[in-house]
Amino acid sequence: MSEVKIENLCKAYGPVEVLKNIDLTVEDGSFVVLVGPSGCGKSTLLRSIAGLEPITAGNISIGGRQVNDLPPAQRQIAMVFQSYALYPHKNVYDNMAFGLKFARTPKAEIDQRVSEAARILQLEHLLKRRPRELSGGQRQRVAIGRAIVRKPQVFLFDEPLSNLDAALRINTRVEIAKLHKLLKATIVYVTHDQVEAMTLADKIVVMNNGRVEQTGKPLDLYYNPANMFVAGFIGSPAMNFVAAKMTQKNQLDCGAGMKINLPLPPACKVGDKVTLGCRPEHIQFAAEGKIQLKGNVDILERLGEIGYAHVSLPNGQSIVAQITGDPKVGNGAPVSLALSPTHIHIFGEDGSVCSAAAR
Amino acid sequence: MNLRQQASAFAVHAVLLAYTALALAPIILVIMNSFKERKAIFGAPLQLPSPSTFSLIGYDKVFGDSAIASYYINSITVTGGTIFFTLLFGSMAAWALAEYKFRFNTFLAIFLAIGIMVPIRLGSVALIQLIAQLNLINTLTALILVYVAQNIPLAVFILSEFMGQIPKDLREAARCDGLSEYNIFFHIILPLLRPALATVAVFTMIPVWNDLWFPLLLAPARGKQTITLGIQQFLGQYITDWNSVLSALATAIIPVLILYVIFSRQLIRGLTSGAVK
Repeated sequence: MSEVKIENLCKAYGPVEVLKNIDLTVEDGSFVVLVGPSGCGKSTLLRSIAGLEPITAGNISIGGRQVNDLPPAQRQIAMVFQSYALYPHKNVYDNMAFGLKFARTPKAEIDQRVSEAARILQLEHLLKRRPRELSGGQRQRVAIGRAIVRKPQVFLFDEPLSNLDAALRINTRVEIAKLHKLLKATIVYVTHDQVEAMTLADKIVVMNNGRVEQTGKPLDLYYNPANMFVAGFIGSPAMNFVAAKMTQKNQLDCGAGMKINLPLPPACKVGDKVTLGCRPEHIQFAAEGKIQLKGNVDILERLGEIGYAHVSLPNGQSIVAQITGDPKVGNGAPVSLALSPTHIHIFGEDGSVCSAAAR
Repeated sequence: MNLRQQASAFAVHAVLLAYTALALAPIILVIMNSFKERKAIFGAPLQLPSPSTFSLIGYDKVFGDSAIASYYINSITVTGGTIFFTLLFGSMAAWALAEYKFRFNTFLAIFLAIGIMVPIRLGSVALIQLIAQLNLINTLTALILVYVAQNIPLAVFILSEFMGQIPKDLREAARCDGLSEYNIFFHIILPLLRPALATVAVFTMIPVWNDLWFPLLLAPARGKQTITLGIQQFLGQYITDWNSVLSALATAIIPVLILYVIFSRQLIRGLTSGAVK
């Protein structure tokens, strides 16, 4: 069992609280991604689990053992750093074997573990090289290898892909996913890139301002965001938000004469200010459909198979709609947008969701 | 390369060459004259030794004097010991100041900075009293102690700057790997600090090797003299044995030159060894 359990974790630097009452369970063998904008506390949380940051209050246990006051080495974790943090004066073999040597592991076992890791990561031909003679992707693999040989209960990844170029990032992402399957390891992974989070995670933890905003499976977060922050953070391009006011039962007034009729959750009352959210992929160019908005095209971004149209609405707000193929529309042309009624989210004034639209 | 660049390159080299000549001239003069007869040293000091003026009399005397060997050994012991302890304690102190937060951190850093600004010779009288009370007068230990104290502030200053450049991730990776703080220092930090250590070693070595002041005050007894002090015996009130003085000076350059070559190679290797990423 290598479950990580975090209860009521708080961390403050003087008066500045960076982590506020975090509760989180990482199940044995699962891949959990902490995601959020810079400064949201995700790295601090990871470093707290690793034992590199002392915590102010709360509990962290790994594999059923409370580790609050244990140094990193005794927590049975292995961390992969954003900068890889390879020892520059040691070759690949020694980089991986270094920790084991100090743990007085027998030489034969070190050899066996290192060559096993090298085989998995295809580093066998590089064992004698120094880190400076490796490419970025190879260094990344060495850093992961150094984690594997320790046979930790939990792997901690701190933005491991952000130093790689775009093509390599996608490759390595797949490699990490395969590795997780192969090792059946428990992984906590920090990233600010929601695509990495969506593709890798069994469970995503969205963080903002030192709090957990929402925890769930990738598609749950995508389809049922709990609040505007999660809704805007998950999905690319980001969800469109249109400010509106409920004028009568099942009708929203978006200003400038734009009225939308749709079934609203019972929690909304006449006169409430709400925000309507809809993802670009659920908005189409179409003159028919239950929910219609009209606007003028600002810019068309054509990506090939699909594209994105930036449309300004009469009330001055701008929304993005996904287009397929090559609609023959010029800039400034008036268009009709159809919003998919099953994919509309209504958020209350405090930003939390009133309810997902009826399906 | 256009004309302007050529002109500026020429100007730079001219200035550098002039300074080199200025710095090397006295040394060349010493070496040149150490191979000449006494009469020729005074008759034509700027001339190269010719077959008629060539003489090894100075070297004969220097190497014939059994005390000279002990001067060398004393100088090498003092310089070597000073370098070793300055680097060891200096880097440990720098690591502590750079890595750990504790209550007197800033105070200690300022205290050490004062050590750079105030010349240690101002405290000579107090140092003599202290060394006398410790019963260390006329020992090489006294010299090493004083020189280490003299050099540690600058060493800490230079080394903590370099330590700042070692990425924090490396130390944390080592902590995750289960290394103790001492092992992190000796197995991660020190090897990466090698170029900085070489720099400090060179800065430390040359003034210590050349110093006359503290050997004169703290260890003037026969048998404990360093080379710079030992050579003084050839300088008399009425007669100075210039052949011996010049020969001894010329040979005194060699050990320090060898040490410099060793350290400067480290320095160059360190600079080219590449960073973390």
